[in-house]
Amino acid sequence: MNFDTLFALLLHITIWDIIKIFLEISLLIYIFFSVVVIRQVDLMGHALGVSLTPVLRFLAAIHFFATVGIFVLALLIL
Amino acid sequence: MPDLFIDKSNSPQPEPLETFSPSPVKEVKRMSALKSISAFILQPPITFETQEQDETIILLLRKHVITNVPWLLAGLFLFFLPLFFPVIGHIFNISSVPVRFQFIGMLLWYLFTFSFIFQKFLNWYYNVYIVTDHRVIDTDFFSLLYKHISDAPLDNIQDVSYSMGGVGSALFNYGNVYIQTAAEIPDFEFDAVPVPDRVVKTITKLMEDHGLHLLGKKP
Repeated sequence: MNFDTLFALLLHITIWDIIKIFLEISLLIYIFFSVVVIRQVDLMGHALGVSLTPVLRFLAAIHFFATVGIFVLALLIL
Repeated sequence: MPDLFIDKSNSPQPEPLETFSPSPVKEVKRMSALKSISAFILQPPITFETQEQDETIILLLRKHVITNVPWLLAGLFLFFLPLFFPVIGHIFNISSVPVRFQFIGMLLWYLFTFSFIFQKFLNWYYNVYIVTDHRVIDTDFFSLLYKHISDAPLDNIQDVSYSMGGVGSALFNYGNVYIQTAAEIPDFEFDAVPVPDRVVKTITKLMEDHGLHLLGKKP
């Protein structure tokens, strides 16, 4: 790719392309956060064995899969 | 002469048990689920990480349920705010935003709302104070992955007191319980726990029992 092609490409970048890149990076960071939430629930459940822990683990997993789903959806439709 | 056959088709049949009495198993499960999200549980059916084999949990405490109202209201506000987006969109001219971005934005909004509510609930649910027949334990989770568990044996407790202040505290009967311990162990404070007077009485009673046991006066 020479300089002219790169320059032409940069000229075609819209504000929505920038927002898309920003959203995708944010969602990647958020996926990491949702993994941390799963680990957090696991640690909490280990520290205190209460009856609601399996439900909370399930919700944390749902949260993770929803985040991954939105990330993929954003990649496809944006 | 004994009856050889009795036609029961015309006699009234007893009503099946299920129709007028809830299943005992279901009832126990329902009560257990309700009990598990309570803020004051006597002899809870739980275990904790550092529990010893001969240790019995007497009391499990959390902050009073009413202390969750601010974040619950915030969660409700966040949940229903998108209903007003058409009005807000009209003011700020959001119609220029492509529909696909609006759709992803809406999904993200509800993801963050769920995350906010979930985090707040986890913080409330797992930050507990436990009173056992051996000690008192304070389990704190800060931010995401940091936990702090401190405990004090009943022997080291020097004084137990409580304070109540404010309208909410008076209306819903919750307050702070202070447990003063021996110098090398930091003092404990149970924040906004329900029925603080009962908590103090329970700990005092346990201390008395413990003292009698140590002195060899227990029968």
